[in-house]
Amino acid sequence: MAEILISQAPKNHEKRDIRLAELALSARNGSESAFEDMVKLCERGVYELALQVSRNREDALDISQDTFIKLWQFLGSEASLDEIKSWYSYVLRMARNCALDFLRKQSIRRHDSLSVADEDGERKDMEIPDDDISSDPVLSYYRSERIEAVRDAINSLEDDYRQVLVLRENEGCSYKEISDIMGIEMGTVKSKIFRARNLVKEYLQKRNIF
Amino acid sequence: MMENDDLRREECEKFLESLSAYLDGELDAAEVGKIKNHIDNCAECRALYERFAALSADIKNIKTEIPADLHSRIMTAVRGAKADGADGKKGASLQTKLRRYGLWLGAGAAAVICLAMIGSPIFRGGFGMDLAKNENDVALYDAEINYAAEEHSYYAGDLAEDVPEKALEVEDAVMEAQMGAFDTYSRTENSEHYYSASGGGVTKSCSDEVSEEIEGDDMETAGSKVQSSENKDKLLEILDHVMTESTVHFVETESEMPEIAEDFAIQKFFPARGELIRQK
Repeated sequence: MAEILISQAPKNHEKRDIRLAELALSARNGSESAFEDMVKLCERGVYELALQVSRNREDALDISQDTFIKLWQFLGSEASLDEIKSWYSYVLRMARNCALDFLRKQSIRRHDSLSVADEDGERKDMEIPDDDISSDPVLSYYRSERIEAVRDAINSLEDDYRQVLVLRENEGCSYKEISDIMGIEMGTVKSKIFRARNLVKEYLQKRNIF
Repeated sequence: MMENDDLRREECEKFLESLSAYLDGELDAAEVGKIKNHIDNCAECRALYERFAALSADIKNIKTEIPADLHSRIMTAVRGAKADGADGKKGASLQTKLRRYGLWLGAGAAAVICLAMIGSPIFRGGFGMDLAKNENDVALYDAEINYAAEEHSYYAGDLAEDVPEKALEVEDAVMEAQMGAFDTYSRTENSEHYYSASGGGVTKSCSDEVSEEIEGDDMETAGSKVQSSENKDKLLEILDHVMTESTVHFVETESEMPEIAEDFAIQKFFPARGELIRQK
């Protein structure tokens, strides 16, 4: 049997949470640079999750801004910081709530694919560039075709399945973190990730991509 | 042979979700032992595991393009909020919110507002709810949903002021409760009665007799009264604008509406939080 890499829940997440907790305390004590460092640690994850929920770049930017404004307001409040066990999960959960709130207020309809409006107002598929292109043109073609198909497969998933899968694969979140962010039970996280992977597999199989 | 195949499939079924969790390093030592043993002895599950591992690598190759100005835009927004002194309080008055969503009750008029609560909301996808039944419904729901969400955000915002550490939990509850929309119907204190559907902008008349006939009814009960009612046409008009699985409720004045909404919300969706509210 070929060697299969088992990805352990990354320990660097624990370090990140410890760092965020330190920064949160400094930010509460008035350090603007500490708050900015918190932003730097979380902004990518916040934006990606916002994008997955809103499926629109500009909205994801607005949601990201809203999230960090809320975080700043929270840090400026009297709320206890001790209750927060995982700061990264807390911020991403805040981001998800902001995104859902944003969508409700905007009455945005569900899109079938990631799309942006071009200058004529027509919606077109958003391109997610693949940064990892092999130098071999034939291999490049097959690899990029596959990546394209995998991306289409993920976009075809229902929102919850897509979000848990992206949080797991792109953010490397543990099941506990995903449970906290999405507000669902750990058992549900486990089954949704399995189901999402299975759906992607089936999508690719139907298109003869293995 | 067939029996062995069935047993084997049953065995595999037990491990399927664990295959995925094993890939993610989420199993304890005992579970890891079992799954490794199964994969070593089951070609199908081993193939599935390898497929999942390959997919995992592919998904990681899909990079989201992060806007180059993401950080600067975030910090500019936060600094702007600081400069404005924004502190999360919901400053807009009820009047402003009502006007925002097209509830055009005349100034000074004593309005009677019919509040339709959603027991099991029909909403567009993405919130774990059922999709609206058809595109026409979605158009009607949109404005209504905004209004309800705004009202309950207002409620959550109020609570956030008094019990800030619970604010996020309450906001979660508001969203998880999946509060839908309100249909609003209103009538003046004078003889002219009317109602407006907040989404459709329709204005028609509605009598006391009609409103009393379906006060407090859920849609099923209200619907059952239609055929035998002397106000059949009017009931149909009203119910046509009420979402399926709503409860129709009238309040005497516009200002009662958020209180009633909160009561409904607490009773129906936040029984655990009801205690929290009373502790405020």
